[in-house]
Amino acid sequence: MTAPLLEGSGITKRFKRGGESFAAVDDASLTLGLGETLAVVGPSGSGKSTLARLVLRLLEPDAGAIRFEGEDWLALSGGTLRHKRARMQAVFQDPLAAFNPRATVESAIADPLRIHAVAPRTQRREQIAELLRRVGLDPALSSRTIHEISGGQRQRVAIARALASHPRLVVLDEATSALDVSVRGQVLDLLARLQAEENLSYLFISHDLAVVHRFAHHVAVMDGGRIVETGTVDAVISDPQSRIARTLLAAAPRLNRKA
Amino acid sequence: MKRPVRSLSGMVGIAILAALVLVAVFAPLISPGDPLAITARPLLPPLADWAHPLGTDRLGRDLVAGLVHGARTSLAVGLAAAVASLMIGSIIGTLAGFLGGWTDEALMRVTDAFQTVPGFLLALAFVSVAGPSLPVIVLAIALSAWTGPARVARAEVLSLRERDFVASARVIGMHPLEIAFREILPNALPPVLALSSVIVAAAILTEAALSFLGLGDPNRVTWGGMIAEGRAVLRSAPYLSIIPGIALVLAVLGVYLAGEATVERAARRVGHA
Repeated sequence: MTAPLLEGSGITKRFKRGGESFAAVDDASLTLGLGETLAVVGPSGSGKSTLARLVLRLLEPDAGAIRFEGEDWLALSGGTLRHKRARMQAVFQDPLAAFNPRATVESAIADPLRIHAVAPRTQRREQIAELLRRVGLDPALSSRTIHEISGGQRQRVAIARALASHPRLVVLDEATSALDVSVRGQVLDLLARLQAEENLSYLFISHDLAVVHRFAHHVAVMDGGRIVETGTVDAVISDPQSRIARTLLAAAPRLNRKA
Repeated sequence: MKRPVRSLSGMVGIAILAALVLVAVFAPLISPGDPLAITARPLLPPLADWAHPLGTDRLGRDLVAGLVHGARTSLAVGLAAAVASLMIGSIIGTLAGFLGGWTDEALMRVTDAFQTVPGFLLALAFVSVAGPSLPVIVLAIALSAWTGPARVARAEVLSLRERDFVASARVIGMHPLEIAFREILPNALPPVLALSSVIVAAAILTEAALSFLGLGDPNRVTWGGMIAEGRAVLRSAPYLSIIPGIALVLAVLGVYLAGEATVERAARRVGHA
């Protein structure tokens, strides 16, 4: 077997709150293979979003190591890091907050194309149309501003923007949590299709075990900054070992019945 | 209840400002020739001679010509100084807020230092050292006015930089300077621009005060200079100081009211959206 796409070990991040320091992420380790989806689940405040931001290097860990595509991901900085970021993209929870309030659909997708020189300027418009089609949107939307389109469309644009630089890994930070149920299903289908087409890997941050069950291959359960349980989705859902996994399971009624 | 009253004051402001801009733009048409030229006998009182409706000063220079060309100087200096201070302020505020750490500390201490020195004193010192010319005066006024915009921009940037769209820009590998000036700064501008009417009004007053003290550009007519000129004959010909004084009051009032109305309308539009 080849080396995993993403490998984190002993990742720790401490924050100060009211003078005393606490570990938002405490000695977390994770492995994610090519074409796989690893879900990180946990209640709010369990540190799962912080972990996502550490992996994305939006935050710097206090301790631990992260390897991405065989490279020491934490050793990169400046221009090398920005260049390599093309390979690891993200989709955030609130699709309205994740775009510049002044952005249009076109400018949002054009940014990564320009920064990573994916296509020459003359072909950029076609590339944008192509990306919009791939996420199931009408290319005619490209002239709209971000706040003129619906929440589901926004999240699709966010996915198109993430795909623009040909990443291997997409971090989905609660990417479907803010969408209403019917739209959520469609966006999850889209993500699954893209994964199959491109052999993408997903780090899927969620609090919803029902969605995780449908979407992920592996699960890491977090509580109080620590990863308390890992395993395949089926194993964790049919036989949860940790207290918090059982609590999360109880909160997802459909799965509970099945289990 | 208050809205009609407010929009009335806004209308008055815009009317004054529009009249002022028209006069400034068409100054060479309204009163052709050098406004500093002697055109009639000295100390002609207002309304005595229709060729010089507001009279002449101690040297026989036409008061209307002075007012009209003075409007040019006042508006040009006011606008240029406001633009300069808004630009300096928002760039420094954005850098301080975005970069944080010791850069923020250093830039904010410099801002403190400028804010501690009274603005007018700073402008006065700068002009006395660098010599009175229009660019120097603009720079001198900007030097004392950029701290307000810098503080507002910094505060706005501090809250904006934590937003997801900035994280998203970092994730796609955007250069930090591009994030600061293309992603964050345009979104931080509206509250900074809201300061512009106050800054323009203050700049017009500062320019007038500098001219009054004899530190205005000697080759240009200025209202402050006219008031100072009339001071010597204040008892016998008070109109020489009063008329440019009224022009000054109207200009500042017009800029301020028009600016307030614009800001308020923008705020209402945001509220409705």
